[in-house]
Formats: sequence, C-alpha cells, structure tokens
Amino acid sequence: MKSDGFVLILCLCFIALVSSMALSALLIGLLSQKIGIAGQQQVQQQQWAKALHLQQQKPGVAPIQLSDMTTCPAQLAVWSEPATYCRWIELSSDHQQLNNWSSLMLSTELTLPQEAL
Amino acid sequence: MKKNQHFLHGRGLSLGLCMLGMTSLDTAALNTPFTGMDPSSWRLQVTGDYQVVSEDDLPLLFAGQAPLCQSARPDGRKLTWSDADNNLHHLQLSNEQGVLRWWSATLPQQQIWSEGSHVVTEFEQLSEQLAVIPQAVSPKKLQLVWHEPAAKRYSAVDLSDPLLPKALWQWQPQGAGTVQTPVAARFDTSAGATSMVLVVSGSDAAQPAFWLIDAVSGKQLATQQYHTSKKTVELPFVLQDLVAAPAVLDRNADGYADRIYLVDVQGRLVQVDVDAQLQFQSRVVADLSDVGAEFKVQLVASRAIMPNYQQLAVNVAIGENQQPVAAGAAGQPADVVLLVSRKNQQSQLWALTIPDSPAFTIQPHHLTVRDLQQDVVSPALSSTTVGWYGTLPAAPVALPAVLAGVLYLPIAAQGEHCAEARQATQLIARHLFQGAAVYSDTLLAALPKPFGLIGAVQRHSGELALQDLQSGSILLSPLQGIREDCLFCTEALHQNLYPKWQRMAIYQHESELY
Repeated sequence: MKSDGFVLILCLCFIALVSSMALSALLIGLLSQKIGIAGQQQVQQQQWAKALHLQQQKPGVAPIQLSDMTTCPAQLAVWSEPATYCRWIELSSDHQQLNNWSSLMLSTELTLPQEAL
Repeated sequence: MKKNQHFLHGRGLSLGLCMLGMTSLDTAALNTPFTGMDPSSWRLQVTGDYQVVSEDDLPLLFAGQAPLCQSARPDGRKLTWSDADNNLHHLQLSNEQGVLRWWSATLPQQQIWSEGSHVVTEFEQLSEQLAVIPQAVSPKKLQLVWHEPAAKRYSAVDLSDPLLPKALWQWQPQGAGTVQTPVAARFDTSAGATSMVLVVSGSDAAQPAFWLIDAVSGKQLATQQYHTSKKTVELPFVLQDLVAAPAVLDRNADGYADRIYLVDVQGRLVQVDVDAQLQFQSRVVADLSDVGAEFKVQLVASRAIMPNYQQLAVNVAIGENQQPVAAGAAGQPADVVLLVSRKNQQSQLWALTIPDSPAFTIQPHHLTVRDLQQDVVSPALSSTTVGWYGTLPAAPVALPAVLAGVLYLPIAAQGEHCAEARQATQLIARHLFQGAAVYSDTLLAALPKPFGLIGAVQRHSGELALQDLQSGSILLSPLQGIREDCLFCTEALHQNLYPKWQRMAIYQHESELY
C-alpha cells in the first residue's frame, strides 16, 4: 500500500512538472511572438508615418521658416537673372505617434515684375 | 558736333529705354520728357572732388570727341534703389567712351566727364560698361565703378544723391592694356565680407591678368598674372589678351562669389577658384581656339543642375522620350557658361556645361553643333556631350539670358551704338542643355518687331510672359520652362507653379515617449 501511494505521488509530481514546463514553454513562445510582432509593427508604423510624411508636399498652416537665402542654389530650370527667391522651410508631420518625421524643404518663389496695366 | 550740341543741351529729350530688368512702369516714368533744366556736367579735380563744368566749357571738352548717343545705350544699366529714407529712385546709367551719364524722370541728364586726351577705343559689345557695387548694409548707397578708356583708369562714384556725385577713388592698373568693363562681386574673405571690383587686363597688356579691387577704398586686394609664353604644370596653356568682361559664380549659394570665369581673345576659358585668403587656383576648362574666332563679349555664367542623362536614357530606350518619368531626373551640379564669339563677320553662340570635376579640357569637337538658323529636328545630346554651339543668323543685340532653363538671345541689330539703332528683329530661344528649339518657327516669326532687350514679366492672368523692356509690349506668352523628367519637355510657366518645393533632407524626430 505504501509503495502504491509513493508511486501516485511521484506520478502527480511528474505531471505537475511536465505541466509547468509545457505552460512555461507556451508562455515563452507567446511572449517571443509578441515581441517579434511588436518589432514588425514598429517598422510598419515607421514606414507608414514616413509614407504619410512624403505625401505631404507642402507645408501646413504654420510652417517653420528657418532662413532666407541670399541666392538660390543650382536648379535645372536655370534663371540667369535674379528672378527667384529661395528660403529654407522645416516641414513636420503632425501625427500623435511615436514616429514623427520632418523634412528640410527648399522653397523657390518668383520675384518677377508685374505686367503694366 | 551738332549731335553733341543737342546732347549737351538736352532739353526735351525723351528717353528710349530698354535696360535689362526694367519694368514697363519704369519705362513709362523714364519716358517723361525733361522740362526746363539743363544737364549738369562734372569734372574730377586734383583734390579728388568733382567740380561742376560750366556750359561754356563743355564744347571745348567735347571737341574732337565722337558723338555720344542721345539716349542711354540699351545694354547699359537701369536700376531701382531705395535710399536711407526708403525713397525709391529710378536711374538709367550709361558709359560711353568713359563719360558716365545718368538719367531719371525727375532730373535732367547728368554726366561725369572723363579726363585725358581722346582716344578711339574699340567698342566693347553688349556689356553694361559699368558695375554697380552691391550694398549689404543700410542706409543704402549707390556706388558705381566705370572705366575711362582715355585716362586708362577705373573710377568710382557715389551717386546716392544723383544731383551731387561724390568721387570715391580712381585706380589705374599697372601693365594693363585697354581698360574693360568692370564686374562687381562680394567675396567672403578672412577679413570679412568685402565688395570688390574685378577687372581684366584688356588688349595689348604686358601679361594677361586680372585684379580684385576693394570697392570701398579702391585698393588692389589681389591679382593674378598669366604667362604669355611659358606653360606651367598648374596651367599648361598660354593665354592671350583677356578682353571679355569676366563672370563670377556663387557655387555654394552663400551669397558670396567663389569662382571666376575668364576667357582670352582666342577662346580659352579659364576657371578660377577663389579662397578666403584671395588665393587663386586657375585651370583652363575649355579651349575653343581651334575655331579661330574672337571672344570679346562679356561672359554669362550660371550654376545649374544637369539633367540626369542616365535616368533619361532609360526612358529613351523604352520609347518614352516625351513621357514623364516618376522620379526626378536631376543630376549633378555644373556651371553653365555662355559665350558669344565673332568670326568672319558672323557671330557664334556657345553654351558650355562644365561639371564640378571636369575630366578633360573641352574642345570644339566635344560639343554638338546646333543649327540656329532654322528650327530643325534636333537629336538629343548624349551624356558625354558638354554643350553645344551654333552660328547666329545675325549679330546679337544683348547678352544671352536664361529664363527657366531656356536661353533667349535677341539678334539682328541694325547698328552697334545707340538705342535707336539696336533693335532686334529675331529671337533665338533654345533649350539650355540640348540647344533644341523651344518655340515653333511660326510663333517666333509672329513676334512684334522690332524689339529691344527682353525680360520676364508676370501677367495679371498669372501667366509668365516675355516682354520687350523698351516698349513694354508682350512678345511671348506664356513663357516655356524646361522640365527635368524628359529630354526636350517644356511646360507653360504660370504663377500657380510657384512656390516650388524641393525636399532636400528628411529626418526622424526623437519622441519624448522614448
């Protein structure tokens, strides 16, 4: 009788040990999967935020004007006369999220005289 | 002499203006006849001040002098500037044979007489014949430098009060030949930003050379002389006379010039880099001497982004030459230098694109010949081509101008000197990088003729147009500008296209949540 009780206790302990191991393995797997997904989600979020920012071609209501330029940098459509006026603008995407992108934009404006009436 | 008398007693002269950069409003104001006032003449005294010359002395001074134009030369300078009280002044300037003259709607013709015995000088075509010193600080002053061929010197004047010119300085180069049109520029030196005047040695000089002169004090700051007979490792070319007025470039867009382009009379184009210590590094980037032409016309230089021919070549290969590509096709930065030469009574136009690190000295056979006489189908230039050139159907009236990547040049001048004789009857309009025609022959043939100097203007409809600055009439509307997404594509320019936004850099913000 004593040996039967001892075997039963051993079996119960073994079952408890195996169960705890299986449970911990499951938890670890779930955790690692979550960690992996989190990384992917972060990359996707970054790409999405960047794509949104790149779609934003012009500054919003209140762009941050950094500085005016004395002369415009080289352009393909060259003006040999000083007919253009350039300035640096900082363009920031205003998303309430972790990944916030900004761009340094060059604004080129015309300074041509108006046609006489 | 009769002309002189009329010029000297210039009552009722009406001013025919066609200065570069003049608005039609300015034209109307300046065309107002003078009323009731005689021109004032000034003469430099040994004390360094100007003294009014009485009318009785004027005929003696002008005796033997070739007649001056009754109105300002169209290739002279017109400028609008504001004084310390923010009053706008419109002045039209002219330098003929060293006589500096200026006009406005409110004062009669004023002039500063050049000292020295009269000499017949070779007419310097198309350039402004004077330099306006750029001012960076207020109150603004109007300072001019002009060359006086008779006295073989450069003079500076303060015209902040057009009725009371103040002599600033005179400078005479040593070993120079003829004096040529000065060019004003601001350089960033180790001593700070300095306004300077750049002059070349001219014809029959002891050595080809150029000088940088302090625009405020008239002191020589730096000079560079070139060997006439000995080739060096640094400059393995022998240069001839430097007659054409040079061009300056600001490569890094900081507002200060850092590169100079010179051309000798035979067509050797010299690129001179200037550092903060005003030391020069010269190299010949183009040698056009094989064509046997004379290069005496002022250079025009601009900084440009070259088309990305490799990107464009893909589209040409797949038959999409005229179709825009998705990505921008802009390539590397380069200098674009425009030259006008003369050979056998014919003028040639040259458009050279010089990359930042040129691998070879440009020779005429590296360039593509374009037919500027008529609009023919132009094959695309290859990526190895560094420019194009062609023979003009007639002499140019003005220096070439580039508007939105299209080169414009009014040609077919009737004469060389005075405003009334310098009327263009034909307009050359070519793609800056390809040399291809931008407008149809029919459109160009329908231009109202004759016309003077041209400039871009914004119409009330929003279109950009090409205007005759003399009459104020519209020549071409809308203006075409080149596009970067295909070889020959152009677009009609409208104010809606501006401001243009160009993304230069993108970066990620660090968030506080991190």
